[in-house]
Amino acid sequence: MRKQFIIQILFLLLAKAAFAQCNNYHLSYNCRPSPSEAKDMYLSSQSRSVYLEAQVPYKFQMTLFGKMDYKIIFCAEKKFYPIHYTITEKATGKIFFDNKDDTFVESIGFSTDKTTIVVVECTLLAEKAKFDDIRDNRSCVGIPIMYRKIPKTGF
Amino acid sequence: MKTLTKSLVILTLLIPFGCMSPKDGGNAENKALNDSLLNVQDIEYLIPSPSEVISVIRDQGLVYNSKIVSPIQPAKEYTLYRSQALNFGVYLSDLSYFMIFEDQSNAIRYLYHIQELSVILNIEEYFSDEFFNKLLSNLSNPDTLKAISLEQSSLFFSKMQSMGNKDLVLLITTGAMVETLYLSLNVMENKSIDDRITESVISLAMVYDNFYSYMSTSPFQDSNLNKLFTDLQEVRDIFTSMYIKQVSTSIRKENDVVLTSEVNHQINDFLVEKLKISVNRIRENIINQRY
Repeated sequence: MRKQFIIQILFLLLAKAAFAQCNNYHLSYNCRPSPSEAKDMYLSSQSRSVYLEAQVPYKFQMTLFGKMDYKIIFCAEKKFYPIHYTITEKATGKIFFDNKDDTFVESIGFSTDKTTIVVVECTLLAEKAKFDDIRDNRSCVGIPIMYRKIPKTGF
Repeated sequence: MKTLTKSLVILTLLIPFGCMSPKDGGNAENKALNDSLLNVQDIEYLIPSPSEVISVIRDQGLVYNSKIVSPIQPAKEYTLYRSQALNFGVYLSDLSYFMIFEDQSNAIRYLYHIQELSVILNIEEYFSDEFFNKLLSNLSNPDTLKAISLEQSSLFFSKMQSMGNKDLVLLITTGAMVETLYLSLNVMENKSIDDRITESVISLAMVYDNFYSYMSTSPFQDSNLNKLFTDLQEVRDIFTSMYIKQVSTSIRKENDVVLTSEVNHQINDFLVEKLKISVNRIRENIINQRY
């Protein structure tokens, strides 16, 4: 019992340290959009960095404002790819995008005409990874969300 | 003694995992363990920063009026910790408002006041000198300032979520949310609602929906704040009575998804006015330290 408790404490300590390291992972080099993708875009305050276990889904609910172009990027440590994600309308449960149908593409653009709430679910599939122990199957995940006003066209 | 030590250790370890949705059931130890790493992967409710909301509402026709912000009160006048935290959130929104509308001189005044309050709240480490210097050195450069302001407020809120003091985070977020609603609603022109006002109210309703869900999953621990919670519920009820129903269709265009939405609602002058009155009352209670 005592041994089990100590293991749990050690596990939590390690998890806590790793979790702290993930702060701002979405700003790290491998999460950055290309200069052409980032042109005129602002980083949304809804961008996330989290510490996730492989094959366990993570969900968050966010607001997409109307008349905006959004770019949502998913990134993690190399061996945890591919990352599977879906973007669903909260009100209807309708899936807007599932990257499984698109060779697990790591970023997606959205243009919105009205403000809407979406639920984003992402899972580290880590298809080719082999994990030696329990600490090994977790990774920082960055989800930078960029946006800009839809540029006016015509007169 | 052993059990107490065990509980304390677990509690200390779990503090930084606040802000996630809790799960029900299980004994204390299992619950504590569940609430830790594994439940980081439960649903999270993300609330856009005041800068982001105000910037969006400005694009929808919000006009500027420097007189409606909360006047600066000396930090020592806040006698209660919860009042300090709530008003800190209010000032964060006011600062965002000044920055988004490029009112540099007021932005500087509020920036210094926020720094002073952050020391009292013991969260000054979340406002590094680098943060202040970055803002101060870009006050005359609106585009850069907007980007910095959005980025910094994003970093601040994400850092806050990992700081561990769940109640403090919720209080600051609540103050900021109420002031953002207040600013957005009170600078809408005082006439019959038009499409732009309707659009802004719908955006605010969506943001509030996420805020309310977040607040409901990790409510205030301090029973002195029950009245505030009830008042915030009233705001939610007013939004609910607007019957905003939205159905979107998505079309794939090259690498992008285009969302087109159809919205039905019952937003009218009466409900917008009711919302304003309710938000104004909560805001006044926060400023006058009545919670």
